Amino acid sequence: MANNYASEFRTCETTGLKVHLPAERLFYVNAVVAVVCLLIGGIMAILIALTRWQAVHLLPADLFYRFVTAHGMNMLVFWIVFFEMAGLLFASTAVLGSRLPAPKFGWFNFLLMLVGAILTNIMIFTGEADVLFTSYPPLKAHPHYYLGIILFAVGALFACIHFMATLVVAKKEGYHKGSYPLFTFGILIAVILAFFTLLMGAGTYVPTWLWAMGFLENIEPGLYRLGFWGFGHAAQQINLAAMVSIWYLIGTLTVGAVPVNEKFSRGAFLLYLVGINVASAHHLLVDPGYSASYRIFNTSYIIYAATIGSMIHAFSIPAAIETAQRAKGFTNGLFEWLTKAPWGNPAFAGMALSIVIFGFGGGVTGVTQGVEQINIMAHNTLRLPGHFHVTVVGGSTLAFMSLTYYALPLVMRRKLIGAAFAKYQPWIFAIGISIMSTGMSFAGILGVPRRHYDISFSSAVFQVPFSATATTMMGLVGLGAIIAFVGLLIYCLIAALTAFFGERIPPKMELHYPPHAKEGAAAGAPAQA
Amino acid sequence: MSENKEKFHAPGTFTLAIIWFLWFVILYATNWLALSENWFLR
Repeated sequence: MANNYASEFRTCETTGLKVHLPAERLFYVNAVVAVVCLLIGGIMAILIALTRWQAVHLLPADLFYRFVTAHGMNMLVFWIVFFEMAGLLFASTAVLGSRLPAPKFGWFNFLLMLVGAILTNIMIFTGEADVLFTSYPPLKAHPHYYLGIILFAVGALFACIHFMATLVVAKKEGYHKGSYPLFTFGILIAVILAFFTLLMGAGTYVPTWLWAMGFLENIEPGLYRLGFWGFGHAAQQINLAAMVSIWYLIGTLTVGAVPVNEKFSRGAFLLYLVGINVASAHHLLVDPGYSASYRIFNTSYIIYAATIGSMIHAFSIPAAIETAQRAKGFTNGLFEWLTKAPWGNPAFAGMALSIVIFGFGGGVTGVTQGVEQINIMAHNTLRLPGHFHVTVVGGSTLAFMSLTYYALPLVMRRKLIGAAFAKYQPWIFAIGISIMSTGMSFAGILGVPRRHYDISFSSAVFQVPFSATATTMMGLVGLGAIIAFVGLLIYCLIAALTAFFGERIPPKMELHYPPHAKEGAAAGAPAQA
Repeated sequence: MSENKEKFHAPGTFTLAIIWFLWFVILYATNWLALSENWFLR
């Protein structure tokens, strides 16, 4: 059976991976749409930042809130999830040398997600959904806004089922034997988290959709907030597991790093399953609808299971890189392995910067602000965006960008256009995001609220004066955003130009038979029918 | 002793982890200090 597909594979000349061509085409479209969503979200980001910079104050109030909604959906959901879908295809087919069991089903899922994303964006940009990313009731959007998100989530859910089916086929037909490689294992954890996330999303958005259409009279706001964050924050944990998996993969691809203790790393991934989704209750830390015991148990106890997992990875990956570098002879002093690392390779530089920004910026601020008592000071201030822009953007997005520099030539078979610019892109983006998030954090400490159009309160009855330092910090936010936006534009340009106009690398077509097929077939020899 | 030294494969990473931990302790303690100054218990 599996031999019918032997002619649909090519061999990657760099990595030796067997790539199933139908999976490669799906990878391509998911990645392209992801970059388009990133560009839309990035344009929204720079406009928002230039509005919050009081000296510029670019947008009118209605457009500001509309663009905040568009920024949240395109960045936190569409860019990230489309890219992860590409990652799912890569982890389940190319890494395992397996075929994609149902390419048509894959295209159906992709189209569902695409239609959902387009519909949601149309509703936002036509002003029918000025409800911000959270869309807390009683704020109500046009029903098609919720329908778009539901279609997108269902498409993603089907794609996760397809991923699981591919793992089963890989084993059953003998494409893969034994335990999964660490990258695939990490993505498997991300997919398990995704099932929880997407079901929570359905449980939240379907009733809200019915409410928006008038079939339900009321939505319980407290229950909505709980359900929404079961979706909204858990979605970021999928990113986390995917990002860490990418760190491992890039460590291997760039310097040949092998996890110091693979079982330990797998155990750390399992800790994500235990703690990370329940801990999304940290969004409700000042919510009076939930008891203090519930909030504190979830955020000051359960959350640490996930924190310990991240700490293990953050130690394990640099240790693997150090061990690999020392084996190559970079043994002088404590840090020769680091100074002689391939910093000119954008994938390595991006991965390393992603680890530093995530660990030193996102990790420490997240654990601190996730404490009930400290959250009282930080809640709804700009400190929170200061935290999650160094996790989701400086961490996940930068890691995804880094992987792109390998995906373009290896999976999309295009020679990179603008390699000289690619060398500097991760640095520009990382510096910009770090400056912007630092500005946000300090402005938040000085009391500046998040998602607020005008902190000068120019036409308000009551004035709330902010210090000159706070205003300066908002300037820093604008400045950082401009630098980061330049980095983002360079990335999008390189990705788009390479994907569409890059010189094609001809595929090396080779018959690929399942090497572990039960019929006793060896690689290259057809099994008995 | 030298045997133990050989087993320590990643001293640079260990140093980085210690720097990270100190950074976390400073940030965490500073936040509790700020809370104690802002949230008066009478």
